[in-house]
Amino acid sequence: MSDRADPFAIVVDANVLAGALTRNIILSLAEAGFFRPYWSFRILDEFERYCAKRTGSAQNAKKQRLRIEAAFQIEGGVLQLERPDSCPHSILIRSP
Amino acid sequence: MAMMHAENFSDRMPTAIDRERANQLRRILAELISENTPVSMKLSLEKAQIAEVTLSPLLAQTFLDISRLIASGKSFSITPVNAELTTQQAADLLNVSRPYLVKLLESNEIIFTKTGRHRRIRAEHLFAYKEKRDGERARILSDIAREDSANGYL
Repeated sequence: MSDRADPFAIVVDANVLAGALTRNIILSLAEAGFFRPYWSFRILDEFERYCAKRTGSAQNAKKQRLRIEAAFQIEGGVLQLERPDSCPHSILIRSP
Repeated sequence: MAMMHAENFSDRMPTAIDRERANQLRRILAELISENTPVSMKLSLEKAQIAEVTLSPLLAQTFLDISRLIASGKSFSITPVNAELTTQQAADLLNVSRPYLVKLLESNEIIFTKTGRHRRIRAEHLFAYKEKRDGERARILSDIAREDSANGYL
């Protein structure tokens, strides 16, 4: 059961997923039910590209992406949302 | 008394006063409680009246659990395991949108029944799914954290 009343939705952008610290923090908070995390195919694509570039392994990048998708199967893996402004209740988090 | 039903802890978080009072009850119960033994209490009421209350072990434990939740500032709702939930209630408990919950039903991830045009989900089936999902999620997230840490990213 969620500990929080009325959780809201958050669109987690690729750069938040890309940073190890921000990724672990945001996913842990989502796990605790503070909000519903959303991302789009495009966000996950960008995250995967970044991972591949950083680690030099496309295979590893794919694995990272699939893990995040498996952990939060929201809207069947991703929200069909490419423009955050089409979702008035969501907040876009960007790390500086 | 009608006012008392106007809101509950699934609608709002406990206030500082709620927490303090719940903590007081929690301390008393924690001290009295012991496994398999009923808890007897004497409550002094107004006009010097005394009421004797005996709590069975499970009942005492339940009150303790509830006072713990409130004392730690958490909001919650109580759902009987055989309750029939609406799709919206089930979605709220899983912290997902209603359309996604409906997808879970249609893909047979969660058992449901149909009463006329309405889909109903038994709470025990929903909690079974939630337990599976949460376990899997926790496992993946700790894998991610462990690897990030091993790679020196954290």
